[in-house]
Formats: sequence, C-alpha cells, structure tokens
Amino acid sequence: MVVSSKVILSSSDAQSFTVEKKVAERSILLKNMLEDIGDSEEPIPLPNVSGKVLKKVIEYCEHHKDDDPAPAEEEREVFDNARSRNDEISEWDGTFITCENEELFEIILAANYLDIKPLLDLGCKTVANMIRGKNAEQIRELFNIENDFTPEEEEQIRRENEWAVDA
Amino acid sequence: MASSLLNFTKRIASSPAAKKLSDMYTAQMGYRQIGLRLDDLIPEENVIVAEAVRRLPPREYQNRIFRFRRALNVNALQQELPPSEWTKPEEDVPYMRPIIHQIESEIETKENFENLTVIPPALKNRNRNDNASILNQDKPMKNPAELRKTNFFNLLSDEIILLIFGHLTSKELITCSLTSKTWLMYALDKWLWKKLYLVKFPIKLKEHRKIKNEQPGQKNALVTTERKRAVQIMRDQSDWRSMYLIQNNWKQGKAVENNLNLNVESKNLCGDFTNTRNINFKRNLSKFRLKKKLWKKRASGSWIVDNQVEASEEEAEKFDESCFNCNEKLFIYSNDVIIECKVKDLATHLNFWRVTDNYLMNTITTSKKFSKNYFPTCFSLSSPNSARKGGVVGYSNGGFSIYSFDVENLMASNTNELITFSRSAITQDHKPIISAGLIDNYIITCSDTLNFTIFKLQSESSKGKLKKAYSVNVLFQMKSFICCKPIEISICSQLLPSESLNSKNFYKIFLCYTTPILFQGFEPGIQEIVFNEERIVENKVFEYSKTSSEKTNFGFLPFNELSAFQSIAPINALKFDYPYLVIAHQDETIQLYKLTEKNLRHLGTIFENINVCTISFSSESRRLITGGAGGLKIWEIPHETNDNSTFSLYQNSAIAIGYEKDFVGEETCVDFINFDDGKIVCNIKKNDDNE
Repeated sequence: MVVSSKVILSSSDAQSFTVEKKVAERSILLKNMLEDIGDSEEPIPLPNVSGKVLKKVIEYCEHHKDDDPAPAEEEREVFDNARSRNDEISEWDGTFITCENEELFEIILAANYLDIKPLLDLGCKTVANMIRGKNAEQIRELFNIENDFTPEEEEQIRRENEWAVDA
Repeated sequence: MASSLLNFTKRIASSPAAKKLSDMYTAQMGYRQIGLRLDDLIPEENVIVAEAVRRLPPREYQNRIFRFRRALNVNALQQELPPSEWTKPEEDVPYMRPIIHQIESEIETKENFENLTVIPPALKNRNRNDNASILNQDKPMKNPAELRKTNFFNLLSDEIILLIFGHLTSKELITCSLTSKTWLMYALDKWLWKKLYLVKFPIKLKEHRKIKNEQPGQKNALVTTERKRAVQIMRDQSDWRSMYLIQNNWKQGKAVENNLNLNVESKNLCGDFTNTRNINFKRNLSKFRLKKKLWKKRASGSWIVDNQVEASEEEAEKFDESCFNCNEKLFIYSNDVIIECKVKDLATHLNFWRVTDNYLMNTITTSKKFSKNYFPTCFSLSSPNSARKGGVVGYSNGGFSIYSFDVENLMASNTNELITFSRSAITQDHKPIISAGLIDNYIITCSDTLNFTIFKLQSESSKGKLKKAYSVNVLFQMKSFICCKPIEISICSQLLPSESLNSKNFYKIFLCYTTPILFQGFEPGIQEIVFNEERIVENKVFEYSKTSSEKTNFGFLPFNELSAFQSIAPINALKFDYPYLVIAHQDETIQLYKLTEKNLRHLGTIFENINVCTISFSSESRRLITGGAGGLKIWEIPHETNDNSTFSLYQNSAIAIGYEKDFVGEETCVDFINFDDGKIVCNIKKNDDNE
C-alpha cells in the first residue's frame, strides 16, 4: 500500500493544490471519492470551493491531520447527555478561524461541502459565539439581517418570550 | 407555447363583459359540438401540460380520454354529436388550467431557489476578482461596503443554521428569534429545543434493577434498554419548546403560568392563581423566618388559596397563627371548605375554613382527651354517595374519631363528633392507622401493621337523651404480610344494586397498595373487596401484568413485551380514582394505570423532573396535580382513543407553578394537595430539621 501518495485538488478558479492523501482524507467527501477511484494522477475538481478558501481548508486539515478520525456519525442522539456540549475552541483553531465574516461563511460552506465535520463545527461555534451576548439589533447589524417584523409583531414575540429573559 | 395559449384563454375567461361574444366564439369553435371541453384543446406536447395531465385525478383523466375517443370517432365520421351530448357551457370548466398554473409557479419557485443556492453573485464576483487575471475583468470590482451588506446566512442551508443555533442557549435563541422572521422560524425549531431540554433536564433513570449475580454488561444493557424506552416515549412529544418553558420556569421559581391547549374549565383552574399566591408566599415566608426562632420545631404550614382570594392581612395572620400551633395537621378540601385536623391540648380539633374569605366557620373538638401525646395520621371524608356525611380521623395510637358534618351544606348545628376511641379497646392494635374510609355506617381502616378492618357503627338510641350514643363493632379483619405503604383505601364505587340479595347493601372497596416484587422494585396492586353486613362477598386482587394474558414475569423481559416504560422504583404516593390509579415513583416518574375487569393496565408514564411527594387526581376532570419539592404541576390526562393502545401523557399540557426563587433554595415541599372545582389547596411543608 502506498503510504504517502499525493492528491491534487483543483479549485473552482482552477488553482491546483497538491496535498498528502492523509490530509485530503480529513474530508469525508474526498475520502470516499479516493476510495472509489483509487490512486490517480488526475486533479480532483472542487467546483464549489474557491482557491482562497480551499487553501484555508487545507491549512486546517494539515494541522489536524493526526487527530483521531471522527467517530462514525450515527444519528445524533441528543438524549445521550453524557456528551456534553463542547463549546471550547482550541487556541490554534481560534486563530485560524479569526477572519472576515464573508470568509468565515465560505469556510463553513466549504466544510459542509467537503464534509469536514470538525471544521464545520468550528465554524458554527464561531458564528454562535458572535451571536452570543448581543441583542437583536446588534445581531441584525452584524449579519446584515433585515428586520421584517412590524413593531407590533416584535412586541408580541418579546412578550411571549419574557420568561426566558433572565434564563 | 402553452403559456401564450393560456394567456389567451385566461383573457376569455376573465372578461365578463365579453362573455356573450366569447360564447358566440366558442360556439363557432365547434369543440363543444363534438363533446370536448376548452381545456381539452390545450396541446399536450409540452412538458408542463404533460405534467398537468399526469397530475389529473384518475376520474378526470378517464373522462378526458373518453371525450377524446368520442371526438375522434365523430370527427372521422364527419358528424356532430346529438345536441344532448354537446358540452354544456356549465360543464366547460377549466379542469386543467389550475394545475398548469400551479406547475408553472412551482417551476418559477424552483428556479428562484436554485439561483439562490448557487453561490450568489456577490461571492462569485469576489472569487473572480481574486483571480482577476483569469476571469471577468470586464465586471467592476464590488464595492467592499456593498459586500459587507450581504446577509451571509442566506447562503447557508437550514441544516447549517440549525447547527449554529445548536450552540446557543435558550436566552440567545430568544434574542435570535427577535431579529427577523426567518430567524424566528429557525429559533423555534423543535430539534433545538429538544436538545436544550434534554441537556438541561436529562431523563433520569436510576438503576433500580440490581439483580444479584448480574454481569456488568447485562446491567448496562438493561439500563440502556430502559433509557431507550423512555426516549421512545419522549420522542412522541412535539412541543419541546413549551416543555422547556415549563421546566425552566419551574427551576427558576418563576410563577408564570402557561395556558396551552387547556379548555375553559382549566383556565378557571389556574386563573389568577399566581398573583395571589405570590403575595401569600411572600407573607408566609417572612412569617416562617419569624416563627422559626420561636418554635424551633419541625415544619409548619401555610395555605395557598387561589382565585382572587382577597384575604385581609389580619385574617391571614390568624390563619397562619393557627397553623403554627402544632406540628401535625391534616387537611381536606372540599366544596370550598378546608377542614383542618389537628391535635391541640390533647384533644382533636377539626377546623372548618371557608376558602373564599378565610373565615373560620366552625370547630369541632373531641370530648375525649387522650392521656398520651398522639397525633392524627389520616383523615378522609365519607364517600360521596354515603348516606352518612362526615369524616373519619385515624390516630397514631390506632384509634379513630368519626365526625358527622356535611361539607356541602355546612352549618354549625349539623356538625358534631360521633365517637372517638382508642383502638386498643376493640382490636388491641396500637399501631397508627394509615388509611381510613367511611361509608354509611361502615368504617374501614388499615393500620401500619397492615391490619385491615371493617367496623360497623351502631347507634343506640337511648330514651330521654338528646344525643345519640354510638358504638362500634368489628365486622371483618384481614391482614397482609407483603404489601407495603403507602396504602389508600378508596370506597369510590357506588353501592351495588341491592336487588341481588335480601335488600342488603353491598359495598365495594378498592384497596390500593404497593407490592414489592422480587429482586427489589415496587409495583402497584389493587384489591377489590365487596362486602355486606354479613360477609365478604368478593375478594379480588388485581396485579399489574405486562400483557393481559401473561402473568407477571420477573427478571428480564423480551423487549417487545414491555408495553411502555415502567418504573419499579419505590413508590412515593398513590392515588386511586376509579378507574385510574396514579403512582408517583421515587425515580421521578409518574405511572398511570387503569383498572379493567381483568387486570391493572399500564397506560402511560410521565417523566417528572422533581421528586413527587403528593398527588391529587380526579378521573372526572382528567386532571392530575403533582406536588413536590418546588411547587405544583397540573397535568392533563388525555382521553383514551383506543382501549387497546397505550397513550402518552401530554406533559405540554402541564402548568408549572413554581415558587419564588429564594423560596426554592430552602427545602420546601408540597405536603398536601387537594383540588376541586377549579381550586387547589395545598400545604407547604418546610423542613428545617437541620437547624
């Protein structure tokens, strides 16, 4: 078995990246793909990922290439409360993910497309942390969300949810 | 193009002014003369129309084919149909155009959607601009300010947004729901609240089934099996958000009531409850602290009375004072009257309070004084259809008192003590009576040592005296060696028709108890006893069995034989109201059973989050009230739809009434609950034993 074969990835804007197979296999999509096609010299086209984002994703995969592979994801059993919510972000990850909103969302999309669960989680956590501690108006501003409530509707929702205000 | 033809036909249809003209025109078209409809003329050689034809109801499709065949025939013969078979104008309805419109709008939606999910222009442009040397130099670079205005959430799929929201707390979700309609929709998602609920209020299943010589693996398997059952039941829940709301308020001690899908009756039930109660609580709380120093005794009570009870301060104080005077009291609530039973100065006092104004209406004091300290252990009213109205109080020394009063029509004149005596005189049993019942002239008691006795009250009318003298005889005695506390005697059944035998009345008693099953664990049992003055006619025991046909099978059961999750933890409280038996277990579950002709059937499980100390249940109103550390909850038991199916209990129809925050911290416990006609009375017990 070839241990450290290389894989060529091609982004939407035709940039090519040569990475170790092990790194590429952090992506479940690529892993399955590689299993199917076997070793090949052909570059793998990734039409949904731009070169800039792909570079970032590869950086992440390089850093995490020696992590334990994610456990086979069964149906997310939320009843299993033993697995507490892990909202902590490691230092490296934190630095890695610190970027513009736009790039962050692109990374999330790419992680989702490439099926890189830890990266997707990291992205989601980061967005969640951005939401955290802000009021509705600040969130709207942060993500450019249009307020499509009438004042009455907003008031009604606010009233309905009074119970949770100091939860 | 089909759409152009459609536009044309649409115009015809939508211009009533030109109706006459159009009628003439359609007549000229001649399609009606060969039995066709206008919609039949829409050419089928088109994707949209083909799809519309495919979607036609079968009947309509057959008719269409028939019309075509007929028209073909007629056309081939160069004839017209007889006028009777012509398509009448009222028959010429657009049967296909609505479908075509629908498909067109679907296609439009889909196109819009696809345009949306493809990387939006803003992003595309940016990517291209990064590699500007290769592509799209003709397009000007997007203004960065404009870029920042993009709502990137629009790019994400629902799934990812839910993943993001999954990292938020309930409070943050609520904030999110206020930002926009789309976010509101996400923030209300069932999955999110389910997760929040279960993280915050995990289903606790303690390992009760500890079987000897058990392999560790086996036990785990069993526990997970139990968990899975519980999970399955919980899965039926739909409104996780409301459940979260209820539980959260509960934990927070916020007295926010939650009217979900309750009917008018129950709205009345919760009514203005919270406000009044809060006031009372505050007042009583300060009193607690004051009195604690003085009395240094265990626990005292306070009243909660609902529904716009505007008790004046003094009266409430008086009320409280009276409560503080002793440490063992029993309460009964019926018809707006609270009957308080307590021992004071070595004599029993029954105090009748009118709920509406906290007015002390009447007091009965027993004539006989006891030499030793004793206290009442149980108190119950006569059963509703009893000829004798009154109540019976059982004491810790095995004695009991019988009182005569009518709560429905309470007057000072008709309340009196009938007889009080210590049990020793009759049965030599000095053990506390744990449950008692009264019907007509029969008193049924059950003692701590599981002596079950039926007494008969006899009046000896002596001449010349105004007061009748009473005596009590033992009719029957039974003893059990296995059943455990708590026990409830319920004489809820009507008198059996007396026509069967000698015009003697038959009485039916339900004795509910706890049976310990092998290898630890507890299950409910019901014994039905029918008696008359002479003998015990019938004595049946209903045990809970897993299925109606099989006997109770100890040990492991095949998965599919477990009808529903069932607890075997020790039982805290049980309540029987024919035909339902409600059991509160120590593992924070409540089980509901139904007594059928053959057995006791398990109906459902409620997963509570607190240890339930007391329950009150009425099978008529289908309301269950549970009380425990922290407050009250009201549950609604759904009607059975199918007698053979188990049903789940809707927790989301519960109203949680928590206490104020500072109150929860202390070891408070609802000690007693009784409810009736939309009012609840409960007694709060506070344990300060630690001091």
